[in-house]
Amino acid sequence: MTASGLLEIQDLRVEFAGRRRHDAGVLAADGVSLRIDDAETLGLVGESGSGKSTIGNAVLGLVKPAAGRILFRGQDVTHATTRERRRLGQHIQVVFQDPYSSLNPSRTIGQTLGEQLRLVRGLDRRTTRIHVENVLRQVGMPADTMSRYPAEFSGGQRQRIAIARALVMEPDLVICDEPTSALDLSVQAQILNLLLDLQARLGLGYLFISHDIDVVRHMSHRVAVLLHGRVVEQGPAEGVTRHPDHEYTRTLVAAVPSVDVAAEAPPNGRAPHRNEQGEA
Amino acid sequence: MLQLIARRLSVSVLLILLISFLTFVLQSLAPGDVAKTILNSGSGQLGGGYTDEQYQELRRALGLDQPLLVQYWDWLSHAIRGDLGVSPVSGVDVTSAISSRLPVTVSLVVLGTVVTAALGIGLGMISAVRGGRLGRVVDVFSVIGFALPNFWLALLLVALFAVSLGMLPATGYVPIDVSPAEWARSLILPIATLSLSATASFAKQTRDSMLDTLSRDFVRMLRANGASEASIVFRHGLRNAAIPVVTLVGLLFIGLFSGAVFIESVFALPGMGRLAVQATEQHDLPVVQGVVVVLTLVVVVTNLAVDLVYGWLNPKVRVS
Repeated sequence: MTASGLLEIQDLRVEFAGRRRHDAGVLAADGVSLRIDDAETLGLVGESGSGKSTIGNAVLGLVKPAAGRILFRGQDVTHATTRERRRLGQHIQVVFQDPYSSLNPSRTIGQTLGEQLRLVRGLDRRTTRIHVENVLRQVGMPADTMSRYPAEFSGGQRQRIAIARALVMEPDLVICDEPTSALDLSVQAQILNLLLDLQARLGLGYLFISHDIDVVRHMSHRVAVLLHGRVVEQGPAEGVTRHPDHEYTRTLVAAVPSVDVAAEAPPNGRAPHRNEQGEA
Repeated sequence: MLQLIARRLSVSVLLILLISFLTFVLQSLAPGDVAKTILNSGSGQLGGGYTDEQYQELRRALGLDQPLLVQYWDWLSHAIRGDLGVSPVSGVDVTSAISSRLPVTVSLVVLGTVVTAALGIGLGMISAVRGGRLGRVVDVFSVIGFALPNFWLALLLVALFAVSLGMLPATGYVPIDVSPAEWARSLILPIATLSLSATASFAKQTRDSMLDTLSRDFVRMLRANGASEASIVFRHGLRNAAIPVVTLVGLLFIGLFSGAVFIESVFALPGMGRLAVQATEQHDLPVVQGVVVVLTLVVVVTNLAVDLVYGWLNPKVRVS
């Protein structure tokens, strides 16, 4: 563990202005401090409107923080310029929730995945092609995916492609903003396991954003619980999700429909699996 | 792709047959016929200047006593060989009547489409990208554009620019090979009238479509990766945002042809629209049929072109 870690968020504050001039603004993030180390997953859980995605967006530079700092490997990237963002794109990538809107429908998968390699890294056509095929193989997609359009794939396949798009620049940190919320349950599990598998192989750090505390437990080493833009509880995944300290976390855990079944059955599934992955 | 074109063209042959037949039937159902038109024009307006024998004789000479299907077949068998016949009223060859009128209407419609699309798409994109107050101005402008009736606007424009200011001719047309400058001047007011409300709807459609595209996750991803605004809008956004706008261009182009009927009457332009109106009043069947066939062809070809562009823009269409 380095002194500054992979990503560090310090006292982040994000405000959204009201619709009219005198409307009170909304505090989407209020004094949020988080930290992610290499090859670690920080789960960010909370109800909709709690500010989870805002934090991810701030790291990506899609919203401007009112106060606080975001450090990537100790370097302040809070107000990175467009040019700096382009360089940062080699280290931080994102997988969004909706696989139907995260791929440009008028470009082939090969064009979408290869573009940054060619523009940012300046690779030639051949090298780009080899690189893209390689990444597609890693997410379990055949090589002929390259010449196809997004419309030819199902939601789960598209999400695999979206993950490949994030990985093509060989990042250290991937922001996963509800990456499985739009998918069928069976496909969800496949995508989650793919993410775990990729983390084990490539040593990726994840900021894993979800409203589903069950999914977050399955995926994360540590969990932060967010309510109205504030972190109300933070700690190791097992501790926070099995023995929550905060009233709100207890509500979230209770809201999972399968919680009774999970309590009756021996916990051979989720959390231990996570531990094995973490130690591997 | 070739299959699509072939299929569409064969359907369009059927379409032209059907439409020309319907026109033929409708025209025959209308009270009066061309024999009366000719006899009336020969001997004053009162219609008492000819005997029934003269009338029946003229009908026989023109073939109007034949059954409808025979008349239609007679027209069709000539039309297939490119012979659209001769106007019984004016004695002018229909093909040459249409080809002398077509450039006027085509100038009007093509320029109208170009002006509308360029202005509307430009305004819509600026307002989508800049947003805020400018976006609301475009919204208000498009509501006003929708609400203003064409005929009222035409009168207003003529009163202002032609009558009061004397800057532009109120009526008439100068062919482009006579004087390009005068040609342009004679078309400014008609095109402005044709374009205003359509420009408004283009601006609105482009704005909405562009805003929708720019809110997609792939655009957010590009932003997070430091893509420039110009690259986002033109390289990635435009092609997706253009899909509904292209549909609108096709509809506009076809719509302007029917709008031209009215505009040509107001501005006294010798185009296809006026020719059609005149011929219908005179029961001049060969001319009406000629105009209808040419316009149907225009519609069919335009729709085909829109579909082809659509397939190029939208891979989803190509897949299915």
